[in-house]
Amino acid sequence: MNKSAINLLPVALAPKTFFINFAKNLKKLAILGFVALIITATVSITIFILFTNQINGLIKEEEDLKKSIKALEETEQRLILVQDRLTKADNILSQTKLNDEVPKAKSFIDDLPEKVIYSNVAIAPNNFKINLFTDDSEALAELFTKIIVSGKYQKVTLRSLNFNSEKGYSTSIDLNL
Amino acid sequence: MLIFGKEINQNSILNPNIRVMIIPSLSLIIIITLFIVVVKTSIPKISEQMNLVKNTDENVSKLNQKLDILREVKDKVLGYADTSLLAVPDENPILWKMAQLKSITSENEMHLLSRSVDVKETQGGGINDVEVIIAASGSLAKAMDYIKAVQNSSPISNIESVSIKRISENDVEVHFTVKTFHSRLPTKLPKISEPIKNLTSKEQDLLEDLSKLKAPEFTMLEPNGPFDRLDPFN
Repeated sequence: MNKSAINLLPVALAPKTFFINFAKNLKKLAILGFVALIITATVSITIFILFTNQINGLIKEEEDLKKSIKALEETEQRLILVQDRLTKADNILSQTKLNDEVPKAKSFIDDLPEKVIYSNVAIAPNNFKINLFTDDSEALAELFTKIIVSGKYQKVTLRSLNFNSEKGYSTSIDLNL
Repeated sequence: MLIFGKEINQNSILNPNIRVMIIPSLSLIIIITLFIVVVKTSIPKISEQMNLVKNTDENVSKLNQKLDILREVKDKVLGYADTSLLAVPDENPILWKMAQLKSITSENEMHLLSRSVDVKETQGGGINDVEVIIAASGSLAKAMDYIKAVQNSSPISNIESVSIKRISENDVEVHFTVKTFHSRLPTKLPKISEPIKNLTSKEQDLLEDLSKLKAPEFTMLEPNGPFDRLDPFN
């Protein structure tokens, strides 16, 4: 019989089998825990080192980029100037102003019937007002027909139509573009 | 009680059931404590580093993007700056605008009747405007071309209304107010790490339109120095 198998202790002093098994299980758990601890520590240190290297690389890259951008500072200044001017130009151009009303008014005057004469034209954004004279009622009728048939105007307002035996007809028309 | 000739006091030793578990239990407790310490220390550190990597990576990509934009516009931006600064100058352009209006008047065969200047206060967005009130005479066709030429000149010239009066069979008198604008230059550069935007297609189109405006003949008034007079009597 194996020497170690001989239990010389009195039965009353020997631990119970349940406790011996429990202790063995605890020992196994402790060994497993130790392995897990070593693995966790190793993985943590590895990740830490990898991240530190990555951060150092990125910081160096960042510094290099900053130097390159600093070298192009003049270009950056100009670009910011251009963007600032363009924002302001856009703001100015969006203000109320004449666009293509002037050529449209000219085209209206050019198309006037032969006997119709203009005296005043007031051009504003999206509309113009014109004062006209004629001694021929047929020319006046032709003018109104032209205006209606052309379809160029959103709204036509006849402000006044007067007749004077000496000067003939005078009329004032508002044309909305 | 004698065991192997030694007196053992049964009351002085621990319960054998407990004694058999002491070392494994203590070991397990120490390992669990160490595990908690390692995990509690490493997780915040790793998380901090992950955030640092993420932030630095974002910064690097922003800087790369900024550098790409700057390299892309480097050659073109000087021309853009000239065009945009002519369109909206930083100083009151009234002197060169007046000279330009005079030359546009003569180019369009118009006769300048009067001109006057009215300087306005700052508008919204730090833009100042100067109004030039003009009266000129000439043929209707030339007057229309004249107004168009004034509108298409740099710095940006807004005409709000035009009044045309027929003065003879061939001639008209035109009255209108031209608004020109100027604004101070930006004084602050954004931080180096701040992203920068490239010109949008709308801005490119606007630049294209501004480049079509007729530039003034001069934008700087050089001081006239003393000159040698060869013939003092003429």
